[in-house]
Amino acid sequence: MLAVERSGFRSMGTEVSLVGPDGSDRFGTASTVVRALFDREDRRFSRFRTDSELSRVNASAGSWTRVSSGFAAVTALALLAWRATDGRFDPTVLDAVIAAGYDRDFDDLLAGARAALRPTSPCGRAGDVALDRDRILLPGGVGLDLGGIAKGWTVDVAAEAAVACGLPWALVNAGGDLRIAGIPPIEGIDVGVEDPERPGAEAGRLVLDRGSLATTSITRRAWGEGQHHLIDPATGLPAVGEVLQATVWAPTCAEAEVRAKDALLLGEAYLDRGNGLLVLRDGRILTNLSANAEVAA
Amino acid sequence: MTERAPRRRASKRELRTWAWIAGSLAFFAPWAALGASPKPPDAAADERPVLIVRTITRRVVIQDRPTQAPVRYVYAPSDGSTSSAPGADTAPAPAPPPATSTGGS
Repeated sequence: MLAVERSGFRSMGTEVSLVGPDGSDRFGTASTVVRALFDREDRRFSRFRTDSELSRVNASAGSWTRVSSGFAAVTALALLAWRATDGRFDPTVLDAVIAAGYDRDFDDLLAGARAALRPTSPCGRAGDVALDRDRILLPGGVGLDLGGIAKGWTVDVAAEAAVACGLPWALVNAGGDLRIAGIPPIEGIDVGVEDPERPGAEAGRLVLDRGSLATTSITRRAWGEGQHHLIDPATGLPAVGEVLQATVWAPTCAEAEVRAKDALLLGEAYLDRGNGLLVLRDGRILTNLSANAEVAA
Repeated sequence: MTERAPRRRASKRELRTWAWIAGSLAFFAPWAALGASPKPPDAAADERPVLIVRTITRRVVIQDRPTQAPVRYVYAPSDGSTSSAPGADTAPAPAPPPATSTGGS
């Protein structure tokens, strides 16, 4: 078993952990850097902080607003993802997410079960968002929700920053969105894939050599029957499909985050487009990843 | 001076009948007391949550032409699952804990 060192903290509404090689004297420094990075990006991208940059931009919909370079970078990624997925990934689902009942930090949301707050309509206004280097213009009445892709981007930045601190390799995991940076051990890093219907049980295990994995599930961040955070932009309602959970691989965590949502909406057809492991409602696990019998034996 | 009528002596049959009546009352009195005592309202039983236990069996399907990626599938440790994955029958149990896990966000 690989000997590792780990540290953890809570940020962006989820558990964040840094995993690195055991015995490195740089691990403490890397932990501090990663934590500071998450704190900074949470202040930038949280829609639950009235003083965040995202809240300021959303409040200024209808007029040009100056944004930071990090904000512009993530927004540009989100708009690219919207085009690449034919609108299945949509950063303008904020109104629909709030209408579904997700109008406060998830820890607070769990304090009381709630139904949908109000009906909504299909989303798809990402094409009307204008980004001009350090300025952004949102159409009136449109709000950005960069939660998932901002978290993935932060994981990418944090993993690279940890290696820059002197670690030979580092893995940053934020609520299941994870990225390896540096040169990991030759045998790879074991990653357990949690079973969406049995908390604490594994639905499978993957060995990661490089890049990122992201998992999205409709059984997590759910606050009632059919009430969860993954909005289908075509309907504006929480997605309903054959996939309970999608775990996908991509070179970066921001891309993996986008692809995981796409896989959850596309279902089995996603496996013709990318690498992943899907847990379906009927009990099947579908994957197009090559099996590694040597590791299992 | 009036003359009191002589008391009629009960027959053996009457005595036996009265004895049966008294015995029966004595026997059933506790049951009647139990029946009359207050009980918890029936509505409480109707409000009990109904638990539906679903047995989950995972069946792993690896597509015919697995793609090459820097990530490999190892095994599915689900109870009672069957697998078409090569080498899945030799899956170790229990496996050492993974370095980290991914489970949906």
